Amino acid sequence: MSGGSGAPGPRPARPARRAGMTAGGATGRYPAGTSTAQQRLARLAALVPRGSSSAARTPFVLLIVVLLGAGMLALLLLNAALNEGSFEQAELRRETEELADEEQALQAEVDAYSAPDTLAGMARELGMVPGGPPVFLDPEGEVLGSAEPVPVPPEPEASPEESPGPPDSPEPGESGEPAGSEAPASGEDPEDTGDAQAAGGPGDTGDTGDTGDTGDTGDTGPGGNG
Amino acid sequence: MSRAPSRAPAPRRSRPDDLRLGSPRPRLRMLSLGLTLVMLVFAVRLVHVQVVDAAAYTEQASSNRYVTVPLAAQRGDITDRNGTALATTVDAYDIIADPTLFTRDITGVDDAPEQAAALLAPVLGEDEEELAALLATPDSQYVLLARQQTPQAWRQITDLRRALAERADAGTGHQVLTGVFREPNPKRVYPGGDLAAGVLGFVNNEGRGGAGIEAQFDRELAGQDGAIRYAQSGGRRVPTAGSHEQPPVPGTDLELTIDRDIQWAAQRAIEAQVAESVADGGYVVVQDARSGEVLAMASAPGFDPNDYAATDPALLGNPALQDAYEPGSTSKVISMAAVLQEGVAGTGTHVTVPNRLPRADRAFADDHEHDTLHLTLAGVLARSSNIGTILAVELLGDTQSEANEVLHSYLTAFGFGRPTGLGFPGETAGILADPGDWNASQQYTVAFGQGLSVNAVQAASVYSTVANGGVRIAPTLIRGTTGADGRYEPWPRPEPERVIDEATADDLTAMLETVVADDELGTGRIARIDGYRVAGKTGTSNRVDPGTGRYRGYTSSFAGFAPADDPRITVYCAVQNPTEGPHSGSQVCGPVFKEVMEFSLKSLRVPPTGAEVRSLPATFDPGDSATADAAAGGDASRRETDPEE
Repeated sequence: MSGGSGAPGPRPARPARRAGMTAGGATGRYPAGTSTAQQRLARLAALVPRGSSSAARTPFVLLIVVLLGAGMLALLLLNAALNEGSFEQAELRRETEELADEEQALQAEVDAYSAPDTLAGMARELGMVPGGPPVFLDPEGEVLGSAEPVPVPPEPEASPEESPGPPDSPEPGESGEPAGSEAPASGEDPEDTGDAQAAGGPGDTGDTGDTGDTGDTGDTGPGGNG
Repeated sequence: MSRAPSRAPAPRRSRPDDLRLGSPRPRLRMLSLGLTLVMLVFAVRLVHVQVVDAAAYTEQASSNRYVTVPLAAQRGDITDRNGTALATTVDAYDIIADPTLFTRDITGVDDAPEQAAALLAPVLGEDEEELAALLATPDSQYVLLARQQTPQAWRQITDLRRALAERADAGTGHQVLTGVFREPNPKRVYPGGDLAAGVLGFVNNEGRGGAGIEAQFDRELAGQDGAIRYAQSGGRRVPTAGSHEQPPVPGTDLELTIDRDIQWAAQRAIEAQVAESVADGGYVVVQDARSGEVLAMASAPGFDPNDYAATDPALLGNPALQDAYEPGSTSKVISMAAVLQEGVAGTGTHVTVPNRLPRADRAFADDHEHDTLHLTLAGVLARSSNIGTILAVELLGDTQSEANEVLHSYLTAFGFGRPTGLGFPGETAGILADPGDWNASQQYTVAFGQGLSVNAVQAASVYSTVANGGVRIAPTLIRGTTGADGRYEPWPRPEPERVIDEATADDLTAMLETVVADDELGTGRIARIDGYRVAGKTGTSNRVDPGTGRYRGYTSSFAGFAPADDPRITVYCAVQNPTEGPHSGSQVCGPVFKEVMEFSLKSLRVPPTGAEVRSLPATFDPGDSATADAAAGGDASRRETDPEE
């Protein structure tokens, strides 16, 4: 290092070389020999393109600023939208959970009502009794099994006075058998069931005096709600 | 440097003389070297941070930002054969609290625990004082106030808290519920209560199956828990940060072969009978005779799996599979099957039954005293004569040990002494000793169902085998599964095994029908069902007291199937140690059999076949016994003339 700095030789040589270069670049106007620092500066200044003033730069800077700003704004909006979505999602999630809870609670209620134990209890309250052996009606109208009314359990007062109704097979079809097979309503007072059954009222049956109707009224006795 | 050109060269030249400045070059070099070194250090550190230790730092960075939340898998439902849920899982929360948030500093009042307890007690259904004591626990940040509360209960708590917050803002009250939190802890619910509880079992506090199907198929039912990992900020998910979710795999749904309604009827019937007879317990098994599917498996006393913790642990099993007891006369049907199948006697073979039969070290008797009876083989079964059965079984071999071997092979073929195939936890295979190990009297008692033990399902399966034309289909409890993908997979059907010929099964059915239909001798008359042909057999056996290991009390049972000419349903009932009222199988279990059978026929819509009831002759006129039967029959009557009479 010290060796390099000690040698004065190369230093003067530089301007000379530069001068030579400039001389080659702009021959004639500024002769190489007369060039001073002042002149060089002026010459250099002249080299700078005059057109690129501040006026031309502004739109570009503005463009960049606008682009940047727009980008930032877009990003902000995007983030905001995403966050909003996230809030909404959290809200919906909570709602889903609540609805699921509600569904479970309602399902539990339905299950409780449809449990065999509850159903049996409610049927008993309506005066129904467990049926005996099942009786089937085959497509030809023949009865399979023996249709006997189920004996009424002790608590409600029995009303079997009309129950001899289900004949074994005197009248095929609708009258006796299906009613007999559904004997369970007999806990009720026969008059009550009669009212409920002949929806038109007992007066109607009397009016028409139709055999079919009298058959029906006879049917309500053993059949109950059948 | 840039100013250099503006300076006059003159002073510069003179400078070395008075003030010699160091050349900038070494300084620059030093500087750049230094900078290079610093950059190098940075670079090395950069590589270290970004490459070598990258993972560790990422981890550290994300440990606060990312949270991992476990996602619990929903436990599979258990349904009956019609899809009605027998066990399901609902959302529930453990209500917990941080006692440090109930101090004066936080709440501003001294009696915050008491106030909070007063508010919480009615919601949680817990004792107020206990809650207050829990909330005042010193040096603890976690107390469990109540387990598995409904979401509705939690909502009530949050409503309370909101009301308190409003009052606190208004300055008229204090917020004392800040420290109450919830933890999800899904609850297993059994909508039917004690319905099929023995079969289902229960789920324990850790969420694992504790007994029954819940334990047997715990892995399938439990599914696989998942987890979600996401970036959070202030408790909220950061949407752009990405997340990693391992979704939970929900458990498999199981469909049982149980029919809820039949199960209910069976359970109600056996509970009522056990209560009426003041018995130790009882079981009812209902089986589809054609497929081997168990339609109902009820036992009394039962338990409520919703509240298993409050139940006597001794009751938390499934006695229908876990109790081994001596079946008694209901297993005579196997002896008869062996006799008929081996061709040593027919249904009409004459058997003269004396009042006492000396064999081994004792004189065997029937359940009550009688004059010498002249019974056919069908009559022996109808009358449930022990002596007649011993005499018939003796025909199976030339020597007693040969007969034992043959009988043992039939007992095994009918499923005694081996597991039922259900794989149920804690199930017993019963006790059936090798014929070589049978002691002197056991050789004879085994023929009528004493000296061997079975469980109720094994006993029921015997009748299903006869009903199914002699082909045994191992009982099954699972009908199918629905996996996480929603696909239904039917459960593999067990291999049918032929045990006896169809003709033998037909003869046996006729004999069993005689038991119910014979007006004079039939012990099963009580089980008649109007319009249907019913085959059945009673059983009243001496019971081994599980406490002392000695015979004490009775096991009353009834087994049978219907319709006899096209069997669909097998029902088996047994009551252990009836102490009140009658103890005979027909009187204790006959009504249960009838009730459950009627209900099952109705439930499954099995019409009567309309065929006439078939009843075999049960007795014979001793006058023409010599001509009536084959050598084997004659052999039988000769043998039993030996004893005392």
